[in-house]
Amino acid sequence: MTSIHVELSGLKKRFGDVAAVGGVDLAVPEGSFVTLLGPSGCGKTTTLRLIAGFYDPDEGEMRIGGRRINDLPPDQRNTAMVFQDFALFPHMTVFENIAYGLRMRGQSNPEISRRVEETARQLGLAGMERKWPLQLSGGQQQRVALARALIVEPEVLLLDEPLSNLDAKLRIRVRTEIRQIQQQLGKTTIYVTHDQEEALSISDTIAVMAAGRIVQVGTPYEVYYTPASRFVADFVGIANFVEGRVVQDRGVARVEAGGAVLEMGTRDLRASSSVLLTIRPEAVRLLEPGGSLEGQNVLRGVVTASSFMGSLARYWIEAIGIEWVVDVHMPVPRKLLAGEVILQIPGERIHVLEQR
Amino acid sequence: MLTAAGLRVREVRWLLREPALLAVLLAVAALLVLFVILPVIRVLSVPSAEHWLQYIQREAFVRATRNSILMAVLSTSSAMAVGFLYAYAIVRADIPAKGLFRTVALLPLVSPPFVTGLATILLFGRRGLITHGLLGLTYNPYGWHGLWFAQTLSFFPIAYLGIAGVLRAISPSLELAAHNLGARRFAVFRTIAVPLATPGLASAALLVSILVLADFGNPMLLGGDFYVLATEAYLQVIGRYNMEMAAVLCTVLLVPALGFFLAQRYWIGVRAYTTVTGRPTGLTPLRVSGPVRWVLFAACLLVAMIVLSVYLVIAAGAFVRVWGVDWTFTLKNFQYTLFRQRDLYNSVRFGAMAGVITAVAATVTAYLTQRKSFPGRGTLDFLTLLPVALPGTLVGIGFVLAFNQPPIELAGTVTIIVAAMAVRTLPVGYRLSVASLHQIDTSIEWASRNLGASSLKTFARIMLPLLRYAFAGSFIYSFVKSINTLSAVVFLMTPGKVVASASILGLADHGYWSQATALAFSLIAIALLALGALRLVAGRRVQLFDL
Repeated sequence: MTSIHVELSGLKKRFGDVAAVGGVDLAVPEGSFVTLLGPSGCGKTTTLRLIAGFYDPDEGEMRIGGRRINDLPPDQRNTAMVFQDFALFPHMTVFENIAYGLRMRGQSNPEISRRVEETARQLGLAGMERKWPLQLSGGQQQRVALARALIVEPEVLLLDEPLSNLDAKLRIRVRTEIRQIQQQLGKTTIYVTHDQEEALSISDTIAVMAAGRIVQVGTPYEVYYTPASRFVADFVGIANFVEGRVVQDRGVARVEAGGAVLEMGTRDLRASSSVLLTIRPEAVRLLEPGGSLEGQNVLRGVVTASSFMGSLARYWIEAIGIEWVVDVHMPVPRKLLAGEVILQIPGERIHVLEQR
Repeated sequence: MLTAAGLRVREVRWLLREPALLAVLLAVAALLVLFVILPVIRVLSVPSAEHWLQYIQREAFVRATRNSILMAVLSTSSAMAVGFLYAYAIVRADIPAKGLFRTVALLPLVSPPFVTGLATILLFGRRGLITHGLLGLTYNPYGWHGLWFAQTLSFFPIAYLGIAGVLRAISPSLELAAHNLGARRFAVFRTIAVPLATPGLASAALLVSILVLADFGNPMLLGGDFYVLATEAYLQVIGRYNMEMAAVLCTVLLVPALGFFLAQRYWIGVRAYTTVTGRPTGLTPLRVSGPVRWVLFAACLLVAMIVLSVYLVIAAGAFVRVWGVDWTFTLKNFQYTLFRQRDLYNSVRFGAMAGVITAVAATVTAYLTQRKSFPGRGTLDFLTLLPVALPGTLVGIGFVLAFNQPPIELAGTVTIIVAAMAVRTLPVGYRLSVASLHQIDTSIEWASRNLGASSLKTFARIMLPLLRYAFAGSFIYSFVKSINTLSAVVFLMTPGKVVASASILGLADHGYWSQATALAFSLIAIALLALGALRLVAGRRVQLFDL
C-alpha cells in the first residue's frame, strides 16, 4: 500500500549565486499528504516548482510512479498545482476555469459538462459556474482553483501556500476541507507552507526545510516532540532550551543545569557529556508558591511577564538562569499568577536535542 | 444612512470650513473652464450649418477626410505590427541588448514628431543620401508612401509602450497554470495570452490611430499634395483665414479622439483584466524557443537601425554645408540657430514656463481629486484629463477663437502660447501625480492632521516633499513635449514669438536643410539633456515613459 509515488533525489537548483535548493531527497508514499515546511527563502516553493516543471533542476532526479520526469514539459507531467495567488483565468467563467484542463485533454463537451458539474458540487461551488472569478470571495476563488486542479485527476496534487491569501478563520476551515478531500480521493499531495500550525494540522508527513535542504522528515508528532535540531524545535512551535551536563547515568539519566538537577528517566546518555535539552511550554506544570517542593524536577521561579490568551495563559518565568515560556491550559484562577512560582518538569517530556 | 444630497451638503460644509482649500479649488476649476472648455465650445459653436454642408460637398474636404482615414489605418497597422514585435521580443523573448532597444524607442518619443519626416526627405528625397547618393535614383518621397513610412517610425514607440504594458501585466502564473493543466505552448498563447491582451491591444491601436489622425508636422513636410484633415485645417486658417471651415475640420478630428477617450474611461477600464492577481509571485513567464528568439532579435535590430539612421542623418545634416551637394564639415549652421535667431531661445523659455505651470497645476489638482471630497470631483478629474483627447490643431484654433477678442484678449501674447503648451501636457503630469499619490498612504496625511496641521499645511509640509519626484517628472515631461509641439502653437505665434519647431518646418519647406537639421538637432539635444537631468535628480523613481 505504501509504495513510493514521488521520489526526489539529490535535487539541486541555483539562481545566480544562490543555491535555492541544495540537494533535496524526498520519498512521498502513494496517497499521502506531505508538507514542505520552512521559513521564506528555504527552497520549499522552488522544490514544488521543480516538480511542476516550471524550473529545470541543475542536478538530481525526479520520479513520479517510478518514471523519470526531468525532461517532461510541464503540460505533460500531470501535476496540477494550486497557486498562491490562485491564478484563475480572469477572462473565463468559473465553469471555463474548471473545464480548462479537460479541454486541453480533448474531452467531449457533454463529458466536460458532466464532470465540471460533479466537481463543482463536490467543492460547494454548485450554482456559481457562470460567475466570473472577480465576483467570488477569496474562499470561493480558492475552491475554484482547487476544483480546476482536481478535475484533471493529477498524479500528484501540488499546493503552493494556497491559504495565505485567506483570512485567519477561513484558513482553518479551508485547510480542514482540503485535508478531507485529499483523504476521500486518496490523492498523493505535496503542500508548501511556512505556517507550522497549518503543517502540523494537515499533514501525514512534514519535511522541514532550511537553506535549501530538508533538515527533518517525520510525522507531525515526531517533528513537534522530537525535533532533530535546535532550528526545528524553534521553528515548529515554541521551545524552552536548557544546556546542561550529564551527572549520573546508572540507567537513570540526570542532567545538571543552572544549579538544579533534572531527572529524565531511563535513557542512554554518556556520563559527563554536554547536552542541549528542549521542553515544550505546555509540558511544564506550574504551581502556586507554598506548594510542595517534593517530587521530581521542581524548580523555583519568578514570573517576569504573563498574558492571558483565552484558552491558555502564557507565562515568562525566570528559573535556573533561563527565561522559560510556560503555557497553562484552562487557567483556573480568575487572575494570573505573579511573583514567585514553582515549576515542575515531567522527566519523560524532556527531549535531548544534542549530545557532545 | 446618508442620502446623496445629504452627502453633498456635508461636503460643502467641510469645504466652507477650509476657505483656503475652497479658493484653490475654485481657481483650478476656473482655469480649466477657461483654457479647456471655452476653446472647445468656441470650435464647436463657430461653424454654421452652411459650413458643414460645404464640408460634405467640397471634393477637397472629402478627399482630406479619406486621406486621413487611410493614413490612420495604414500607419496604425504598421506601427502596431512593429510595436508588437518589439514589445514581445523585449518583454517575453529575453533578447540581448534590451537596454539599447529601449533607448532607441525613446528617441521618437522625445523629439519633434516631424523629425522622422525630415530624415525621410534627407534619406530618400531628391537629394537623398540613399536614393540619390548611393543608388543614383530620383525618388519622390512626398505623398502617402513617404508619409506612411515616417508615421510608422514616429508612432511605433507608442504602440510598443502600450503593448509592453499589456504583456507585463499578464501575471506569469496564469500562463504557468494553463501549462500545468496540460496546455501546450501554443495553446497557452491562444487561450490565455491572446484573449487577455486583446483589450489592451485594441486600446493601444486606437491611441496610435488617434495620434496619427491628429498629427500635423509630418503631413505638412511629406504630404506633398496628399492633404489630410490637419493640414487642410491649417491651410484654411493660414491661407484663407476661414476659421469656420478650420473649426469644422477640427471637429471631425475631435470625434474619434473623444470617442476613444470616453470609451477608455467608461468601457475599456471595466474590461481590463490586468489587475486581477496582486502579489508578485517571482515566477518568470514562459519563454519563447531559441530560434524564435533570434528571429525577433534580428527584426528588432533592423527597426532600431532604421530609427538610429534617422537620428544620425539629422546629426549629419546639422554639420554639413549643403545636404546632397557640399558635404564639408561646418559649424556655421549652429551659429545660425544659436545666435541669429531667437526661436530656440523662445522654445526653451516657453517650454520651461509651461513646465512649471503644468507641474503645479497637476500636483494641486491630483491632490484635490484624490484626497479631498467635494461636489464635482469627478468632473474635475474628467476636465483635467480631457486635453488628451483634443487634437493639437483643435487646441490652437480653439485658442485663437476664444482669446482673440474681448473679454479675454490674449492674441499675440506669450501667455496664450504657454497656456496652450501647458493644457496639452497637463493630463500626463496629472497622471504622474495621481500615481505618486496612490503610493502615499492616507494615514501619513491623517497623522499630520492629527498632530495639528491644517489641510494646506499638510499639503505643503508633507505631501509636496513626498510628491517632489512626480513634480519634477511633470515639469520635465511638459518641457520636453512643449519644445517639440507644433500643431497648437503654429496658430498662436506672432513675429518675435516664433518657436523652433515651427521654424524647422519653415526652413525645411524652403529647402534650408542644414539650418533645419541643426535646429532639430539642438531641440533633441536639449530634450535629452532635460531627461538626463531628471534621471540625475530622481533616479529611477519617475518613469516618464514606461519602457
